[in-house]
Amino acid sequence: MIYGQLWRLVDLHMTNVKIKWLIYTVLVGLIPVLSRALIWGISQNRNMDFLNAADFVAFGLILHISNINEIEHFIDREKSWKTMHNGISIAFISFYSVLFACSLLGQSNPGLINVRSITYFSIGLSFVSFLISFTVYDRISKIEQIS
Amino acid sequence: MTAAVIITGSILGVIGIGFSVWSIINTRKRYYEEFMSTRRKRREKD
Repeated sequence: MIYGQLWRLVDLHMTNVKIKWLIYTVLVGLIPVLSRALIWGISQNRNMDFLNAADFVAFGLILHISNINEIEHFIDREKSWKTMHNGISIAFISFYSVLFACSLLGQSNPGLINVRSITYFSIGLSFVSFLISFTVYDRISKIEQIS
Repeated sequence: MTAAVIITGSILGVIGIGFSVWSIINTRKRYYEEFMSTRRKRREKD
């Protein structure tokens, strides 16, 4: 009963588009992070890192690529908004590419790159990407409600 | 290296969060305007 009420509350505030985004994009994007956490949890000797920059880079890339795909199929009325979000997503994808290169360099040559700072940087950037992606899907769901 | 990462991260973070907040406010404003305009049209029709 409580579950039903909770679900009704979620359903009132979150439309179908946003729930799909949360499940198909955010949850799927977080699979590398969650898998690593699971493997770290069951490992006997904790030699591996709990957080890795590459996992968060993958999460950010998935969010921005899904943003570009969703904007591509959105109605033609909002041209400037689409251009703005496409540009931001492309900029973030290029930042993630640099971060990914840095994390690979850090793994092969630990003295060259500060791996910890790159990891924290990618975590922060993926949080920002999550916010940006939320704004895209929020707008899409609102426009769909109107039309 | 760490300072450069912190500075770049802060700049990108501020830009990203600021843009997200602006985008959400803009969407709400737009949604409200469209909602009011639809309601006005419906009332005029009635």
